Amino acid sequence: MNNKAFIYSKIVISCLFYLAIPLFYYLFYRYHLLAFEEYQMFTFDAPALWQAVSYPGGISDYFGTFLTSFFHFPAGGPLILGTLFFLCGICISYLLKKTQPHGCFFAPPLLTALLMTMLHFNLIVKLSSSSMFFITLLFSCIYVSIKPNLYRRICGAILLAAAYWIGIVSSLILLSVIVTWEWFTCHDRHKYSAIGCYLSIAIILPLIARIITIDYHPLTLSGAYLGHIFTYEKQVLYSRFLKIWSSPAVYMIFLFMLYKWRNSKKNQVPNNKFVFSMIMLQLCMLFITGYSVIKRYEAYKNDELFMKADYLVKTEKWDELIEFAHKELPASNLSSPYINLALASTEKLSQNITLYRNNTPDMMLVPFMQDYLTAKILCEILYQLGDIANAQHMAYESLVSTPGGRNVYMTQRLAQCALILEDYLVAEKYLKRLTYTPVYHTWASSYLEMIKHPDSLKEVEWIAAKRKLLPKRNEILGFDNIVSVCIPLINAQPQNKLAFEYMATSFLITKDINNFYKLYHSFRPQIRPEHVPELHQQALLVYMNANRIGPENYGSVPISQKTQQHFEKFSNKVLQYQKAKKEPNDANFKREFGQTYWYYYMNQKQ
Amino acid sequence: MNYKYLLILFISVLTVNGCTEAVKQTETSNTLPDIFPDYIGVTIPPNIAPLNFKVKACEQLQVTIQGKNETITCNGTHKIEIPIKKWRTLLQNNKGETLTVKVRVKKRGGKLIEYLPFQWEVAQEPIDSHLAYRLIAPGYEAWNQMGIYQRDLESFKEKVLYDNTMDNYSCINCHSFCNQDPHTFAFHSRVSHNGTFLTRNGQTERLYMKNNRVSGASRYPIWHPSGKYMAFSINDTKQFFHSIDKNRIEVYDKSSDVVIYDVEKHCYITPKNLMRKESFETFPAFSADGKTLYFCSADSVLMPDNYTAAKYSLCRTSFDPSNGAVGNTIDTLFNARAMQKSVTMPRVSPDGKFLMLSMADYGQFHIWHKEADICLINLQTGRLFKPNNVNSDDAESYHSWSSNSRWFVVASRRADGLHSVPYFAHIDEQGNTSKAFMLPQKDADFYDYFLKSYNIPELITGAIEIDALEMDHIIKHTPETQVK
Repeated sequence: MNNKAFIYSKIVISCLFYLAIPLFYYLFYRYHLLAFEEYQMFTFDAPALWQAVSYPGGISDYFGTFLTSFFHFPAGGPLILGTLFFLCGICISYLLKKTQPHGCFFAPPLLTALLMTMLHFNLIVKLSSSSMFFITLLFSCIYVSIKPNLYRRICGAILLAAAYWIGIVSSLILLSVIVTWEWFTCHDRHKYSAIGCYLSIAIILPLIARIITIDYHPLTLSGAYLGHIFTYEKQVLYSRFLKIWSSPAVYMIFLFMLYKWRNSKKNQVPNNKFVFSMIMLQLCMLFITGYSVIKRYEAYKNDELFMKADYLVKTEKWDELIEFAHKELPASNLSSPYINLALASTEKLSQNITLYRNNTPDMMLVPFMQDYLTAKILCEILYQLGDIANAQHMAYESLVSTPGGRNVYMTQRLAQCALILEDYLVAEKYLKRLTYTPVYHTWASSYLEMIKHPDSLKEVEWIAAKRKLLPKRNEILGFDNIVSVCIPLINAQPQNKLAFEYMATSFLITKDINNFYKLYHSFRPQIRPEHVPELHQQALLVYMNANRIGPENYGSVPISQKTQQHFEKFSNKVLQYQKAKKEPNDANFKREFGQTYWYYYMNQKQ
Repeated sequence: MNYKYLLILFISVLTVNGCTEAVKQTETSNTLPDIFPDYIGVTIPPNIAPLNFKVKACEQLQVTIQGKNETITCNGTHKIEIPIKKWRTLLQNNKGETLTVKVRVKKRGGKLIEYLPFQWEVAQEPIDSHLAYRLIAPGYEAWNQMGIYQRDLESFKEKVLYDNTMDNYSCINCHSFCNQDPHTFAFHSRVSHNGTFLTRNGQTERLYMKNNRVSGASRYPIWHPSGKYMAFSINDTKQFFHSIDKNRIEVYDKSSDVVIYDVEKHCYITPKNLMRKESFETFPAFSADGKTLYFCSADSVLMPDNYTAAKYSLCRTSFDPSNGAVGNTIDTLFNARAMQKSVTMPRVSPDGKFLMLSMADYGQFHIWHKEADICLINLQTGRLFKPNNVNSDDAESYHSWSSNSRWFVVASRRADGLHSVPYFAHIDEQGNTSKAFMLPQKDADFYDYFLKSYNIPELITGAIEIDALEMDHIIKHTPETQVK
């Protein structure tokens, strides 16, 4: 095979591949990455930096968190991940080139990138693990690039210690590369003692870390000891270490062994047959891994739909969320409260009670499961409703429950809640933290300045709007059901459209037409007197009919002639069915009245 | 050498000197500086760590601390870090004396201001050298990382005693020391490796406190001065949240009793008059001589409907340390209900002269009550008084005494309304208290970025010698003992 052609093909394939990764993330996994940004709180200040360097693993965590904070932007995550994988790929290529200069192996960096892509499908995996991997690869490259044995070995020892402090597991990755390199390339008499020294350093490092950090850093206890990792995170470690982190050493060993087996000398150009078989082998491996990535992605596809709903709620794009729900209804039950929120925000919820999976009041609120996700969903709903005390509660629960206890989005939400509730000391604390973040800095600084003159906050639109919705009287609150949440809100502010929508929907769904009528009578005229949705008119007619109120007494209840005639038709049909001793739920009846509240009232089981 | 350059260098030096002279021309202000933490006019122990502070809105800061014979001068941008060795010498040489603190700042725009000096009184009596506390996010229901820590009050060294990340994020709480002794203590661990861990004489026991004689889990502990008994309250605790109120959370008991635990026999003593259905008994405390048991009691009311009606009064009964028997009669030492108030967390000073408690409008969990204040009862005269220089507009709740009875620590939320921070105050034999001061930190900005609460600050006479890994081993491997 033409060497040049091979090199060019290798470059083209690699370029296409590394462009495809960010594109894939952007097209199919963007909302996961946007959500991922929330679960960190990178602050660029001396205490945070000092804390990061003060314990093993802190630096990679800090670096990873820094990069993650740019996931806030839709293209940020894909670009950062793509770049990181590309840089890892370059390092692996360099290591392999050093191992076998005339190798025809183009797949290992790509395989690693694919495996890393797969790894980052899981939101639990922090970016620190990939940044740590990159730093370690960089160290490995530095190590193998030094030719004199003595200097290389001294440098190796220093790098090993640095790698441990930067990323803990990094030292294992680097150790595997160093031992492989020493084993296969060195032939001097100090080879075995050097390997022994490296192993000793790897064992001693955690012990030194213990002495240095045991008394002041609790994270050390979960991070400094490999023993702890093996005890508590062995599943994660095994999967990540065996699949990805050990790969540089594995590739190197493979190459060393292969060329040894072929009995070829270093720098000998391999023959075409060998090259061809190796290329085919690599293509097969790439294909299999790529297929695994796609299969793995399938498992996260539904989550991505939920994440999209979550993002649209976060950005208050209600119409877009409704449209999205029409096209691709997320399978996750957790999406329903979001879709209902979008519908309620656009005053469409109570008119569409038979749509989506919102046919129980449970779908309007999720039960709080003491985790960050349900707490976040509840926080979003309660915040939109104007129940700021409960929203603050849930924001705090979400913040506390987030792994690592840092959540930049919830910190912002807490600052917002405190500003609305005029709790300025607390708001100041959160805002000060946010001023040290790269993304929220401007937002936080502006409000930090305004806090000095609290009257200026009254002019801020969103604060004024939320303050208007606050309950006037203190009550013991829970959020077991949507009605109990909404009652104090609608009593405090009868124009709270969202509270009305949720309450009306809940009453309609549970067929509580007496309460629906009361609610309607008390609050609807204050919200939008000129328009009464068709479904509401139908429900009101059910109430009128049940309470034997004739059309002459409809009074202020605006029911159109058309609806009244439609209802008459419905009543007559029902009577016909009753005379015939049949249930009024056959296909014809459903076709004609299936979309009416009367049909729902008659046939929907509770 | 080019003479031209020498000339430039000479002129530069002159110019710099000229600037220095200009800096020295300062304007005098007739106000006190706006410093954080507010250390103006406080009384401090002779063994406390440096009181580093910051001044708001300033570019340059110079602080001079003047003692009898020596002076410390510190410079900083907006905060100072007092050299610890010089500080220690200064305090040791000025016991019972007054330090004068002068603050000069360069404001934005180059304006130089010298504020009115303020004083620090250095007390004769030292404070206990360590403070043990739990660090936890001041959350509602869920929790994440938390741990019990000890801080050397003479320096800034903080040591983790136990961190729940080591044990599957379990909940550890209610650490309690016998006579401020760092070698005799107890704490609870919940969720995984459940139990009450009790350490004394270098041995730790893991106790399973639930049995059919008590109605629930043991909560608020207190040691008998002899170390042979502990009193616990057994509480059925719940909480709810306010929709719009100055207080966020209401923690209440649906029922509560007080029991005695015999440390040596591993058994409960369940006095009937401390376990009455018609009243809530909670927060026990022993007198310094160990012959009286104090506790808080309220008429039992339907909770949470009548949460504001739960008014706890301070009661006492006799206690026989020879057999753990509790007296038959109960006295009401302070009838809080008559004042439409509620008192909890009684703690008697080691010299037996004062009893400190927390007073709020209602309820027993005053950590979340902004109106909660610290009160003192002179046990010789029975007079109750509020030390106003210790209290603030925000919640003052948990408190503990120094072993010499001359200092106490109070957890207060006054700094930001949410995170509890320890404040220390001096008290003399007559019960006169000094202005409380915040736990000093090496970095004066510390409280800006620290997002945890100091929970249950307990003064102890020395360092606890167990390290976190040993504690981890103890928690995970100590066999359980069933309390009878």
